[in-house]
Amino acid sequence: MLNSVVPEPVEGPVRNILHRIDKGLRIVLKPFQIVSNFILFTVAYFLGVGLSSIFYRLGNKSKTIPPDSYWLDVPPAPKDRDSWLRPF
Amino acid sequence: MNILGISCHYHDAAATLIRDGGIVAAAEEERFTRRKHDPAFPENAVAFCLKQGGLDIGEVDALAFYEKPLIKFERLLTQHVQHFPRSFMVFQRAMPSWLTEKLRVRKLFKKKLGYRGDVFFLEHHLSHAAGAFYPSPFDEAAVLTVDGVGEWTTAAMGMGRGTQLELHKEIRFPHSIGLLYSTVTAYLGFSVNNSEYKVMGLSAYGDKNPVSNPYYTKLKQVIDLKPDGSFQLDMSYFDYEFAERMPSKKLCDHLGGSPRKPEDPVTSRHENIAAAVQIITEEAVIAMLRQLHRTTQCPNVVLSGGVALNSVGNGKILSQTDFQNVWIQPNAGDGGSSMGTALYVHHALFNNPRQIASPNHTLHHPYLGPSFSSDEVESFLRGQNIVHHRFPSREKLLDETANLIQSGKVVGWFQGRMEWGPRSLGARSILANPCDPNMRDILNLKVKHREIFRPFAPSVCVEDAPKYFECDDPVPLPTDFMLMVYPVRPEWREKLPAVTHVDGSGRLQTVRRETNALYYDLIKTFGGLSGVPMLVNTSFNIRGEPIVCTPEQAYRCMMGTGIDCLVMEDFIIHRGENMKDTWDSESVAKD
Repeated sequence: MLNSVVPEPVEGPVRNILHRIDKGLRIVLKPFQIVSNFILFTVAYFLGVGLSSIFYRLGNKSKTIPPDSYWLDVPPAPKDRDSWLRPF
Repeated sequence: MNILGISCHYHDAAATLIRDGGIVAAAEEERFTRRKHDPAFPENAVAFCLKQGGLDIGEVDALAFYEKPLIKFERLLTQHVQHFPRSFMVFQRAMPSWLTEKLRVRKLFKKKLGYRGDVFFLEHHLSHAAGAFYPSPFDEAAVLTVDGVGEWTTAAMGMGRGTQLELHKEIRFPHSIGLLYSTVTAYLGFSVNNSEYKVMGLSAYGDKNPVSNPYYTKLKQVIDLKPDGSFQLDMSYFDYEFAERMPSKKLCDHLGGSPRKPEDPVTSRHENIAAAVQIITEEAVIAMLRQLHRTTQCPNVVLSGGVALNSVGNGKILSQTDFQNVWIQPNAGDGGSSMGTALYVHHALFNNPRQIASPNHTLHHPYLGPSFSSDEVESFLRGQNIVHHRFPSREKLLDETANLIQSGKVVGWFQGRMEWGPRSLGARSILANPCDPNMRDILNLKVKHREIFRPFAPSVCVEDAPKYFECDDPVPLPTDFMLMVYPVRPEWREKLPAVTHVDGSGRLQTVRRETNALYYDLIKTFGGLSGVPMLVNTSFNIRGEPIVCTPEQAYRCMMGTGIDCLVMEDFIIHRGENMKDTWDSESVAKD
């Protein structure tokens, strides 16, 4: 009952067929997708994360003395509207 | 102006609709999909909000999302870099959902809702803070947010004045009181982001004396807590930065053994560990609040974030700090951030004034979810051939219900709009007699199918609360949302066995006639019969399921459990008069 108010995209017959083909291909290609994702993410992890990690460790050798307080300052909230429209 | 606030993708996905600053509707997705803590995009909750507001998506002026996904992604990548190569498996599991969904929030709104307008992104703890400050009855308040983690922040303090809200100080990941509590929750064999309240309930059985509880000293070695409430964790005791398990082997050894398995018996060691983490959490939150008062000198404080649902700690705020007034968002977890983010956009970004005196601008009650009219309920009952009795007179309905409770029956209570937040507060509740010495066991074993150590909460009319509880005077507003635990007065403890916890405390809900007249009158009617105007109030669900939303779910829950009858709008349905459902609730009762 409640689902019925979720807007459904209006679809023509051609778009409908393409949508079904897309859906079918997704099912067929799913196992290949899992394997290829694993390979791609492994490469990304060892090249991207691994290399960054080496540089990170080289640059973080110093030990710091514990401060009196662990509170950190929060930068003031931005004033311009556009910065609130960004996901970062 | 219509603003839709959304929170999703981690746990407790939810949506809130506000119109000209007034809260029109709010609900969590789990109530519609029946998946507890459902993190999925809340399309059903959005659909309900729009329906309640009589809108279609084209009439929404702005959409607000409760966090900044790219900053959170940056934090995750930083974790992986810092913990290479140990983070490999977590990286493999997390990345697909980030790249396909979590980083494409704007696209998701367009695809799922057909929304093409502005999307505002607020930081996670600012959304929490806004969810605590703007619906509060205070024009000016100090603000504290404490949870597991948002983007980087795990706790923050700030100040709200009029329409403006600023956070000034923060503690950053990986140092987190919420994650410390969750780590101990995992160690004790309960599910993370779900069962922290069980640890809170279990803590009452443990040794609350820091000197004699050995685990207090052990856990204090894990955290460096400064007098100003700031803290750092010794991360060698935790694995959550790079693995899916939370406690490290070092922590397990430190606490004297491997983690408890979920179905293992709970021993006094587990109780003492729960007590120790509860004491430390209270110490940290109270220290933060004292620091917040020192820096703001404001008499009012508002709290949000998952840790603000720790009602045992909340009950000590006014007695142990210099704050005079406290308000806590009833949905203090991530779900409540959908409300905060929408209100922040309306007030702080669009500069619309607050109207504290207006009833739907301040959150006086939690009844913001779907409701079903008597006609709709009757149509359902007739459609399913369910034997029912109609009580068109409200007095007769209340008399009959009070009589049933007085005679020892367990009653399902389904009235009006569903509650906002994790607590049942007299709209979707299971009610019983608090004076019945067997009631706690009946409810735990036959109805809720849950652990025997967990307590039940009492509902009491606000003016009667000081008679039965050693509560703050005046009774703080969050008590209406069952967010404060107070000691039951010693002379009443034996007379209220079903709602008095092992340490003599009770997680009371105060009820006001102006916010829920029917429930208030029921408590008074029951008081007229029993001499004690109080009811056991527990959530209308079984263990592991979300609270019921529709008449069908309420009926199914009654028929599958030991609930004796169901009072649904004008109707009373007796389980014994209807065909036994084949559904066995006990078989699905799990976390």
